[in-house]
Amino acid sequence: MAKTDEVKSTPPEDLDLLLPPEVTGMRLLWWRVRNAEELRWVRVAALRVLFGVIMIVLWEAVSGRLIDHRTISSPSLLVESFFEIADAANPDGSLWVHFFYTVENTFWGYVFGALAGILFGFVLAEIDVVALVIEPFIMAFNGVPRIAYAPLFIAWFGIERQPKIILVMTIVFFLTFVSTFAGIRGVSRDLINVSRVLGGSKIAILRKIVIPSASPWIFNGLKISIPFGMVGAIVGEYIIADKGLGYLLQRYNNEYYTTGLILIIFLLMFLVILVNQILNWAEGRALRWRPTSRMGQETVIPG
Amino acid sequence: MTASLSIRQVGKRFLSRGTIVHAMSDVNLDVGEGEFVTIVGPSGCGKSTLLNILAGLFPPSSGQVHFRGERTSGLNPEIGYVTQQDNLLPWRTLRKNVLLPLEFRGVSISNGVSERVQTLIDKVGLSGFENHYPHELSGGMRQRVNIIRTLICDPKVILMDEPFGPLDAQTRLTLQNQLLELWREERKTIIFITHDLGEAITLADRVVVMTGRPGTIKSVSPVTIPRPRDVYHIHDSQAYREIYDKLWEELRDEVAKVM
Repeated sequence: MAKTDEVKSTPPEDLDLLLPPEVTGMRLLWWRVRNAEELRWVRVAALRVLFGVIMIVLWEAVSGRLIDHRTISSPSLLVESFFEIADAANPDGSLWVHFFYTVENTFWGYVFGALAGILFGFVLAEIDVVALVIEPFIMAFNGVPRIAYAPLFIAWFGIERQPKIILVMTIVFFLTFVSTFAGIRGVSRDLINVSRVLGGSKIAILRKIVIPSASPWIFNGLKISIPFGMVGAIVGEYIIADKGLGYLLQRYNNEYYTTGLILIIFLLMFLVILVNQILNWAEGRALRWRPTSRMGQETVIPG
Repeated sequence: MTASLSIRQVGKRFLSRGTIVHAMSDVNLDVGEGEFVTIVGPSGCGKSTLLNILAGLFPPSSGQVHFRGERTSGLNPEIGYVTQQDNLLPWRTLRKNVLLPLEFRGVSISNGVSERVQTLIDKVGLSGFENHYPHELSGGMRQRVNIIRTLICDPKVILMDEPFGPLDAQTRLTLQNQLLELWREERKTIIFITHDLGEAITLADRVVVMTGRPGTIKSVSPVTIPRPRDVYHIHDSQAYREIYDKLWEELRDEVAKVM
């Protein structure tokens, strides 16, 4: 059987043919580093680091010269205050106490919210009547900006962890619920019918057909929930708390302490990237069967 | 010849946008054990509906279907169904896709089973692709996986709904050839829907022509061209041309009606 129709991209041109013959020695080595297909990732990584370094250097150069350092801080100020705030002897409590408070709240809210969202997504997608009845209510609750619920949760659950966890939960719940629901509703009818004809029981079809079909959607929901879930934790702390990164943001804001604010933004950035990488890795393992997109890692919405 | 499938006065009505649509009415057909029957007809004549009923995916509105003398209700493990879309699971490799129905039936994968899987894979020329995922295979290859996935359970009857419809002409001929070989070796009863009259004649013992909606059987014509048939040159024979012309006359009236 000819495989001609499977070749999806034209093979790369033989670059050696384009190389002028007089290029030798170090220049040849350099040329190879610049052009070799297998070094593409190294080149991209190197350029990324370079880009980051340029930004930092520019920032440092501008700060205190063109723009007041109290407005934009500077990388060196940031490093300095990082060690100050992170110090365990800090009377406000070390940065890490606040950091882990927020991480813990986000984590529990995320776990409970995601579990509930996925479970509800499955159940509602399978039971037509319930889905039809409940849909407008879900949309109504989901449509309200989440911050509007925060004062209510504080009134109900106090000013400790609970309202923050619950705020994160509601956000993560809806996002994972909607994507799970859509994923399961989107499973091909034909695929299910064929599986029935091939002798699949309801349970077997759920396990072998429905769950794998819906899993790219579920992963997508899990991924987009991370930054939004963190919003819940931060907003909850921002409104009222005596701990957490949101609390620090609120305090530093009152004190016009921009270095502290920027520091926390960087911490949050680091956190989101870390969790995203972990999920990407898990997704890559679970969905190894999918045709990889060009960059290999970004989420492809199926459909 | 004993009847494998008997279709008795089968009709099907659907409710579509508040009006009743008669997809099919009064279909009568006996298909013999080991017989290859093809069905042609204008689009929308209820061919696929008929196969869905035979597969047991939904019951007929009227009439009944008998399999080996017994009235059928619901899905029947002895009846396999090859759909127009290959419906392979994209997260399973070729081999794992073929094993799916065995897993569904709780068959443990013994050496004997593995051997049969490999034999079928070899027979349709897919050796070397066992661990490829569907997106790495061409349309023709995927459709062959679809066919052997149905064969692995050894059903007595195989229903095929335009399985070669989306394929290019050369691939189609190759697959017709392979299907005829498989059929000769495995002795299955096959009911095969196609919109390609040439394909219908090449493959069939009998060709059924259906009318436009509500679909019913217009004629049943035996194809007397001796077997084994050469799918690549059958079109040159006199017998082929005669039956083609005759069936085309019948089909043309029906197609014209729905246009």
